[in-house]
Amino acid sequence: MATPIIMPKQGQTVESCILTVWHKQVGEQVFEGDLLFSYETDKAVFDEESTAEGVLLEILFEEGDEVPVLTTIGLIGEEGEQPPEADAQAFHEADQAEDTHPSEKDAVPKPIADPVEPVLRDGDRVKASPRARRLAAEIGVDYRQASPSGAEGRVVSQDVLALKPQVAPEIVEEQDELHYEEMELSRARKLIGDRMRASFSEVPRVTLNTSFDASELLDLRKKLKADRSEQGLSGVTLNDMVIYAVSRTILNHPELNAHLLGEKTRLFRDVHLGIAVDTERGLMVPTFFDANRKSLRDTSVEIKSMIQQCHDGNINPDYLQGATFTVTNLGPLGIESFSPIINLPQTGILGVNSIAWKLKEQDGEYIPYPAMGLSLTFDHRAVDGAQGARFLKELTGRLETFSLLLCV
Amino acid sequence: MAKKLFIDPGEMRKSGQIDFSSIPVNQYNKTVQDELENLSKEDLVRIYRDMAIIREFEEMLYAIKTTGEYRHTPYDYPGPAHLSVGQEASVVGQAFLLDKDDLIFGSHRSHGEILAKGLSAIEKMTAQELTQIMEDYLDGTILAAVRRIKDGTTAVKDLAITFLLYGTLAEIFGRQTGFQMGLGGSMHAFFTPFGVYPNNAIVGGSAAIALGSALFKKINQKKGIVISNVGDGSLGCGVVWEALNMASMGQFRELWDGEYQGGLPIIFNFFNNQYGMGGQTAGETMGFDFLARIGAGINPEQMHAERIDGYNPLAVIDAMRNKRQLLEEKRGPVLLDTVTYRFAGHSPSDSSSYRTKEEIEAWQQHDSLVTYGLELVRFGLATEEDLQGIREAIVELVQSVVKLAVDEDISPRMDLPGDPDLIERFMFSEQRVEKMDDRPCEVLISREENPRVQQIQRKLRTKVEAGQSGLRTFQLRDAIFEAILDKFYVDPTLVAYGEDVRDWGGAFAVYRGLTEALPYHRFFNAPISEAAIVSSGVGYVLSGGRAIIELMYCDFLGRAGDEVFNQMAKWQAMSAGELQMPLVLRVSVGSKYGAQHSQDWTALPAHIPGLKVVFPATPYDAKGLMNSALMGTDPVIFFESQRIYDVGEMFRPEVPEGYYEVPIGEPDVKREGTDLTILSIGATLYRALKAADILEERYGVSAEVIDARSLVPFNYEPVLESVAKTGRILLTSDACERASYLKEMAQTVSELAFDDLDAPPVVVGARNWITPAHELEEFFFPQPEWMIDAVDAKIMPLEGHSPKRRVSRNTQIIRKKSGL
Ligand SMILES: Cc1ncc(C[n+]2csc(CCOP(=O)(O)OP(=O)(O)O)c2C)c(N)n1
Repeated sequence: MATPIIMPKQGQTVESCILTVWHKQVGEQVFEGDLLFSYETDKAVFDEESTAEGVLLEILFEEGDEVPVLTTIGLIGEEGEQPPEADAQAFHEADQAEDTHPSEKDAVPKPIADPVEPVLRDGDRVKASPRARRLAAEIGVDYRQASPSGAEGRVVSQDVLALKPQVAPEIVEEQDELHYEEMELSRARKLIGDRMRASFSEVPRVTLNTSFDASELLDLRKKLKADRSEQGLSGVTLNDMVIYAVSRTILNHPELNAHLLGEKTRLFRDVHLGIAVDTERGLMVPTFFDANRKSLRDTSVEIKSMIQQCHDGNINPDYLQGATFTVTNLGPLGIESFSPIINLPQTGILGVNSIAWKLKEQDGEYIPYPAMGLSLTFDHRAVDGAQGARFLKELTGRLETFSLLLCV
Repeated sequence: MAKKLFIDPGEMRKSGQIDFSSIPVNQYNKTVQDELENLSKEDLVRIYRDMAIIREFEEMLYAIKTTGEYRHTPYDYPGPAHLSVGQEASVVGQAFLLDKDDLIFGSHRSHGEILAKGLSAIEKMTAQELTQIMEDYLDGTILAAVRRIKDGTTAVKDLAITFLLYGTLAEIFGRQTGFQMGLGGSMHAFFTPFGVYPNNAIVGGSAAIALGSALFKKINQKKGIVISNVGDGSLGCGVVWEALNMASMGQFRELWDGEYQGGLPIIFNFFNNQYGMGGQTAGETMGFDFLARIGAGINPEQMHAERIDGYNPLAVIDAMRNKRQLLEEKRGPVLLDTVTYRFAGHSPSDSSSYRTKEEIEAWQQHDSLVTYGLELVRFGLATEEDLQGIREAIVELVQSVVKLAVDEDISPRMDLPGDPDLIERFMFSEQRVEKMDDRPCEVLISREENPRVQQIQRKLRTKVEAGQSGLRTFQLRDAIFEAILDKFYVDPTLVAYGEDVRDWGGAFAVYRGLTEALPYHRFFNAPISEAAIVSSGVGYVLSGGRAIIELMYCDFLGRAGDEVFNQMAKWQAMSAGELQMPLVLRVSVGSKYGAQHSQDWTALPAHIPGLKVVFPATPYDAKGLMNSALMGTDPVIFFESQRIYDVGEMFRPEVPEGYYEVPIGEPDVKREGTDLTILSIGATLYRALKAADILEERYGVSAEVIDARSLVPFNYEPVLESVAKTGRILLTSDACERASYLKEMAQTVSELAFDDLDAPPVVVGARNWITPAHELEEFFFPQPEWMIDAVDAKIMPLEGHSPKRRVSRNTQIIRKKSGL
């Protein structure tokens, strides 16, 4: 009897995935653990290994197909075995009926906190007018991201327009031979683009830049790095410390640990920090849930593991949403200040910059010190300039006296 | 309303009695021999020939319908065949003295009339005339087919007879080489060059059309008479009675002047074959006993009614000779009860369950073809062999015509497979004809002398602000008047009539000033006969004139349903473009007078293919559209609204005094805007503008208001352009919302502008109720606030707006569920 190959369900909210690559061909021998196929959601790319042994008898979906999760996409069986006559879909239906199919990848721990309401559930029906849909396609934004203002809760064109970038990118048309290569944007890339564009155009943003004396952080970092114990302290980075400080400070500034949802803002009791990760597949922002309850060490370890999963492409999509504020770090790349884009409906994002030497006056003397830059971008609809500035002030104060913070 | 005629109470209250004169019944009693005084031997034999041709033609169709072949030529003909086997003497007798200028209008059972009238016309025409007709008709296509069996050596008259039989049969079989290119078929075949005018599948339909044709002859002083040929069963039809009455109007004698005075040149002939389909008229479905009796009820002349023996061709010829004389003496109309009998069923599928075999056999004993043939032999005018020879030649002729007509190559069908839209070309004639004739126009005074014109000269033609219309303003009613008056000085054939138009000026004073300008025969009061008014208009224009007729209220459209939907709308296309229909039907949409006087039924004519429908709402548009309607050659239903007869022009700088046209089919942007399109039909324009003001002032929403002006044809481009800009559209008119024309427009916009829409097109019409009293009309007809509510609920939420009416989805579903 042949074994069905099932499109796994990655997280609670994923309803379908795109089958990207078949690593085996029909008729080819497959061993347990062999890389069988790859697929992607709009948030991540995954590889799937075989759990069965035999010959790939049949494939039911082609590369590029969008496949509902838990659907049978192929069959593995004995050499020479005929694929069953019955519609292979029956497997899927039977599976669904009994709901016995185990999640293939249980390696990723379940999120601890109750996930907050997701920004957008894949497959959610969004009411949008035909004009809004057309416009969205024309200007390349996702109408599902728009906040509806039309009758009967419909997304209408002006809502889509609000997602549109103010300055259209200049398109240079190549006339002659191709001096370039074209690649289809991956679904994840498109989604990132849509979100960025939406955020960029819809939100009246303000960015405040500041810096602080990172002497104490650097000292601590040096000490931790030298730690040889098994406690994982040696891996604590400057970024982890900033994240730690943010998680302890931001609750005093609830308008920044919030979602702006049309008419209301949702202020969160806990801090779920989005951590921007630059991967080969593009920008990913896993969520470090309940950051305010985690020790510096746990912060470091968990974030490290999430970053790794992002690079490997096997992060649970449930971890790619639900953040209440985001920290993005371009410091290692030498950036001194920037204006990061807010992940809607969050109200702010903190950019962590590189360290530059600055002078400060002390007793009539100029003393050099390592200054670490911070760029806070916030949604001016939800946060006032002074509120943002106060947050930065408290944060930099805490970072400059980081050891005191650790004692709290 | 004719001040000339004094109604004397003394006379009216005097006692006395009405005396009737006797109505002749089958009083003809001459022999063939006797008729040699009037007819030649050849004539008398030709009568036999013509009857035999019709008999063979109808027997041929009977054979094809019942056995699938005629003399070994197989053919499957699924269409209608209402045969007149047995009735030949009546049609041949009627046609025998008539020529091409005498026009006949018939019924579903008119193959015999076509052939009889055609044969008679051919006999009277010169070879040259005939050749010309055959070469010109449909560019010689029919002649080309006939040439396949008749070469150059055939005598022209013989060729013409073959042409007549073939053109008729090809039409019956739906071939492109038929007289109407196959678009008419058995019940609607005709051939105007021989004076055979449209035959009508609507029982009684021809009576009032023939009346209109007779009006045309009289008013335009044309040669010839007109005959309405309908069955005895049609006396159950209202429009037939309307036609009899209207044709007998006293004014022809009392009020029309000079050469126009006197009766109409029309014979209402009833081929009385004793049955409708199965219902017996005398004794079962009617009370007249003798059909001819009804003439006595119509006018003092009793319509010169007579029953004649339709089984004796000579009796019919004799009657026609006498009656024609009466008509020439302007003593019409005439009513004839032509007794006849059909041997075959109503149609070949009829099992004759409603009559006995004995009855049929008894009539067959009287078969006119046999008895008339015997008469000819008896008086030595032909031998039995002669007659046999005639019959054999006819069989041969019919056989060759059948072979030709069923030949798919020689007699192809209209090439719809190759050109699926071909019929589109026949729906409208789209000509521009300034005048239908070139003679001078008969008027009583010059335009300048007209008191209404003088009054209008004192009015302000320039743009007025909303609500500023008054007696000094050039109003919508003036605009319609002006366009019509001007045309009366251009087209001598133009007539206008309707109820209470002369002296009164029409119920809404549009026609005030026409009475002074026009003689009776161009402008007269019709009886309260909406069906006859419309159908006579149809007959008038398809005979070559131009007419404006009117329905006082739109609500009376039902009274003229068939006449608008089947007659006015259809004859251009059913004639494959041969006939034109330059007929304007003014229809006034009321208010204030309750449920049967306040309805906007624009959707009804707009649904019927073949009609143009307009509904102007401003003086400028009304005049321009009326000018277009009076320049074109297509039937136009011209809606007017009684709410706005007195509005002044609010959009154009002025309403020009001179001639200009507003093209039919072009909507007009009356107010520009960017956020919402409002498309209005008719008088709601002004409420839509009010709504636009409110939207602007209260909600900062900029509405573009488009006045549809026309319904059919309709150029959607400006509307689509507007929707591309605004993304939203609301449609409004005074018609009840369900199945109104707005729904059609909304659907079309949804389809054509789907990707431009930010909200579904929303229709705001009147409630699906009866119209309440005027004081409560605001709860029935669309109001600006309804439009705002609909915008808020269905199109774009308006900040701070709280709707006064229930407009939710649920309400809508519940109402629809209850049929409300
Ligand atoms: C308005 C209308 N009603 C009914 C019919 C169906 N119909 C066709 S012929 C016919 C009988 C007509 O009788 P009559 O006028 O005496 O003509 P005949 O058929 O006897 O020649 C009927 C009822 C019709 N064609 N039109």
